[in-house]
Amino acid sequence: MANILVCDDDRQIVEAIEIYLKQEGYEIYKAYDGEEAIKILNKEDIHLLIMDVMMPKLDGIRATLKIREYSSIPIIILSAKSEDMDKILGLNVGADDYVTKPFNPLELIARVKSNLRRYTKLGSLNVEDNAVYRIGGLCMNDDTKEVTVDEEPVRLTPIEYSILLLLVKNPGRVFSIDQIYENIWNEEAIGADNTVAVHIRHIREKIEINPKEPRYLKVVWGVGYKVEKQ
Amino acid sequence: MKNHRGLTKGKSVLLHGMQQFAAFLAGMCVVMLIAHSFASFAISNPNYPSGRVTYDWNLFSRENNFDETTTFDAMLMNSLQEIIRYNVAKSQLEVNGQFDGSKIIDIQAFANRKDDLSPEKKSEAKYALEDLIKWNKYGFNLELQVMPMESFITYFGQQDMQISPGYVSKKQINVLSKFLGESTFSLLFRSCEVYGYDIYYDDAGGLYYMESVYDESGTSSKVFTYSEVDDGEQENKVDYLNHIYRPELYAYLADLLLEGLGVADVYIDTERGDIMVSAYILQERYKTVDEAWLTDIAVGWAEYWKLVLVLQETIEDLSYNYNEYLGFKERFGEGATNIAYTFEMFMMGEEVRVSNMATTPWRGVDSYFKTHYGRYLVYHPETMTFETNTGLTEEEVFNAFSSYEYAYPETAEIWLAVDTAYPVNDQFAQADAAYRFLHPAAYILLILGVCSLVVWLVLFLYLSVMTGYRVEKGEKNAELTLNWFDAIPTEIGLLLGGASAVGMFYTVLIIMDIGGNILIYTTANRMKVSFLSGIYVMFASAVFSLFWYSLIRRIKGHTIWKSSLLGMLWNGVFLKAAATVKKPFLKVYDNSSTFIQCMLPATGIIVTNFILGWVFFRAWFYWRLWYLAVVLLVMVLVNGVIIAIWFTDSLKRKRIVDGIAKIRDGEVTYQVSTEGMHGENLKLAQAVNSIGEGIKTAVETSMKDERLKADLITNVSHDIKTPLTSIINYVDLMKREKIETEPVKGYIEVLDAKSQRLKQLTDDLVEASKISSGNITLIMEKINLTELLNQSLGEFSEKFEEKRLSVIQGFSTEAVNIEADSRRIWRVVENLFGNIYKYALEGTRVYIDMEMSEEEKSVVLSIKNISAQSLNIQAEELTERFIRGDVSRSTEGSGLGLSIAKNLTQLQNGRFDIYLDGDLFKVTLTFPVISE
Repeated sequence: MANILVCDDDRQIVEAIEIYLKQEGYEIYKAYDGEEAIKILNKEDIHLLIMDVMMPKLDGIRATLKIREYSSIPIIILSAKSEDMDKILGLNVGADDYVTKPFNPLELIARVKSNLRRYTKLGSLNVEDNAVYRIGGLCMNDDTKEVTVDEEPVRLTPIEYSILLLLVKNPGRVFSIDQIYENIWNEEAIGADNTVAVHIRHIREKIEINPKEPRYLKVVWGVGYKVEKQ
Repeated sequence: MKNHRGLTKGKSVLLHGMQQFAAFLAGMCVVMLIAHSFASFAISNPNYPSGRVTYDWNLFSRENNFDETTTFDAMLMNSLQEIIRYNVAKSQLEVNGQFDGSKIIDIQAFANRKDDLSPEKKSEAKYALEDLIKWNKYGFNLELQVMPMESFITYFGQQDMQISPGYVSKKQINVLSKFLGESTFSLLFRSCEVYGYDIYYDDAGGLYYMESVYDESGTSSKVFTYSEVDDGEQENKVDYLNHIYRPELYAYLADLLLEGLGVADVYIDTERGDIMVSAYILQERYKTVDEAWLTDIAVGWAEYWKLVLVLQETIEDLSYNYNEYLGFKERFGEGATNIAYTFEMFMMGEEVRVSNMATTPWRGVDSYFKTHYGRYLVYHPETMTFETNTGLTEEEVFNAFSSYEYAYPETAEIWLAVDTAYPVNDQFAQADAAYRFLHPAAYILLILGVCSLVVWLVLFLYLSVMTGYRVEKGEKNAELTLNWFDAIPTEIGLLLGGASAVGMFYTVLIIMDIGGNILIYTTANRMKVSFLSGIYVMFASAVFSLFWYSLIRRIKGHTIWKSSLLGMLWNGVFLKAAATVKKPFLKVYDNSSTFIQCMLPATGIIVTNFILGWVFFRAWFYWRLWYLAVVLLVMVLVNGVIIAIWFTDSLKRKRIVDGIAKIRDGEVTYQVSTEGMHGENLKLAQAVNSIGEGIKTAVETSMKDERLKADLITNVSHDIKTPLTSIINYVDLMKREKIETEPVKGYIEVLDAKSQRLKQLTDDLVEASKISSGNITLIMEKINLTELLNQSLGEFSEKFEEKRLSVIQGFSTEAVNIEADSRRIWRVVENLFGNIYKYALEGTRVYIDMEMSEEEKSVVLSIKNISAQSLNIQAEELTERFIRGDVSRSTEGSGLGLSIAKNLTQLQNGRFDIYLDGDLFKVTLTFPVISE
């Protein structure tokens, strides 16, 4: 199992995380400031780092910068700072994910798993089929009608599958509800209601870790839906 | 300071020098062209009364040699005419080819020489040639002599007297009296004096009165009146004068007088009691060859007078011819000219040959002329032979001779030639020299002249642009440098410039006059004249440049006004004087009280008008009217000045009012300019400015406070979140322990719910404070409201189903586009739908309607639902922070949802309204629609 380093100046938080992750079978290393985290990182074989931003001695952003000088392990920033600018800064200096406090333990675990999978398994997969569409960790195989997110299979209904395929085939393009309806049902959208919106919500719940902050299927409010190019 | 390119001193001097040199070249070339384009010579020809002839030729003629040009032909023609006249003169003045002063001239025959080919009418009046010429030289004088009529008649005889019986008409009398004068008139009529009147009778018995009328200055004039009335009293007086009246004699004299035969006047000398004749008598300087006087030869006055006139004509003609002859002899005599001629003719039965050649062959003359000279002309009118290689035609030559037919009968033979080698320096040689210079040089001179002119112009423009910008060697930036000349007052400069221009103009006229004369009289001086003209043009150009460039520099340096006398006067005297007067006055005005400030102008106008009104009143009675005009003028002026002051004052007040309006409209940094303000206005403006500053400070403080508050909330929320994380996590861990013991399980549930609510609260708090402090950035884009509602309903469908809320959609499927920030508008709808989910009565209907306003300018979205709890609160309070419909309603929500929704809607240019009616909860959102 993977070794995870958790770094936060609040010991209770570190311990809570330890409890959750140990239940998932991970080996946990603990640090309470940035410098300590770097020391442990140099000493032990760490596969993933969860780190707070506001810490004594060396804060999370600077620590991330230092670590990125020699290491490419997944770093999840765990911060009380929830502004857009804070997230952008954290991701830009090299973090792989950003979770705001107070966090949902289940979400954190899901993100840890996702990042570990991408770090340990996904790097080498290059064989591409024409019928295979890949957007980040999302993979759709149109031959086998299989959908996986970070290698985890996802079960979708036929309509959900068709909607997701339409969006994945045209990454970056925004489809309105009417357009999606006409494409999937092959009927003219007369008085299209929220059917499509409900399906979309379902898809999001299935493929996203946090449906309110989707990574793949994004809502452009008042315009439509799209799958981000990655 | 802008960077200008400039000239170094050396370059400037060089360029100016080049410009003046170009002027010199241009002037010289032009004058040289003009000077060589003509030749002027002396001529003796009645066609040229000035005695000079000027030949010009086309500057760019194609003929290579002068003798091919028409000018050559014209010269030759003129020379031929002169030679003809020369030979005529010779025939009159010479005997055997030599001038002979003793030659006898019959004046009668000479005067008639042109009328008759063989003058038979010979007279006894013959003079020696030299006498006649000398007579002219020393004076041919007629003297007015007065003699008694008796002696006049005796001396000159009266055999030709014509007596006309004297009936004179009334009309004739009028004419006569006008032209003859009184004395003559009185001779022709019988006259007597009766009572101050001169009375005349004519033969028909009519009676004339002549009355002397004297004017103020004492001169008299005569007035004639005619009357046919004849009373007896005057008859006697008339008889008395009859003895001196001899009608025949008077009639004769009157004839002479009237015919203009040298009788000047006939009158009665009352002192001598005789009739006097005044006549022109010739002073006879020489006798005839027969030793006789003219008076001896003439029979009667008429013949005498005729001879005098003939003699006068002969003398004048001969003298003229003699002078001409001398000139011609010099020019056309042997060896003096390049023209060779020989005329042969029969005169009075003998063959005469005139020639300016030393030797001419008697035979083969034609071929001699044709072969020995460049240009020749052979003309034998009798055999109709006309041969020439010049441009002269037979007709021209014939016409030249025809006026001297008496001298050149048709039998004449003419040979004429010009030696085109021009061995003699005569007119032909000079003209040829000029032509030979000009012909090849014309184009060169023209091109050189034009080029020089172009160079001059280019330099003129370039220097006009560059003048004044002086650059030091090695430096780049030029500075505007004015020299001592530019410091001369502008007016004086202009005056000097104008004077120079006028002077130059007159100098040109004088030079042209002198130069023209020099050119005409000494064509050899052409080069000197051209050179001097070049120098003059250069000088003129230099003087012009001096003034012109100075003017340009003044314009560049903006010193035209400053350096002018008027400008100095204005700045130095007028403005200073105005300032001196204004300052103490304003000092008093500014320091005085408002009452005085107000009363001062009013008092001024009242006092002046009072004084002037009084003056006007006095003037009305005692003074002349034009004084009133002055008084009125002063009144109008003073009132006008005061009104102007008031007007400018109110203009300044308007400035203050404008400033207040600007501050009111939010431009709190606006400052009213206090320039030129005094008294109340100044205080007012300063007060307004300080109000503006106060508002500015207040706004700044308030904004700073708001920001600080937002920052505080954000920071505090961060600090809250960390312990909250632990609480949530440990509550979650406790939940996982699957504790079934009551009431611990219940406690844990409470902890869970409250910690979740605390989390929501902190998030909303940060959001709300950011929005209300304006600390967010909106990305406005086109949003389809229908799409947004469908998406939102999709998001909330399961939540609504959970509460068994059925949504009644009252909007069409048509796209309604508004401008909004995608995420923020979602936040608004999310909050509203979230409220419905939280607070709506379970199992009720939710109405969502969308309506376009009239003119489709805005869209109204209304959301209605039935509240689960009664709403005992004001609608406005719902959107106030931390105020909710009912504190006991639910544990969910922060109470900030509506506040955030409202603020966000307003930030996106929308209107957010809440209506409460019993349990009905209604929210309307109004957005402006963007048209397609």
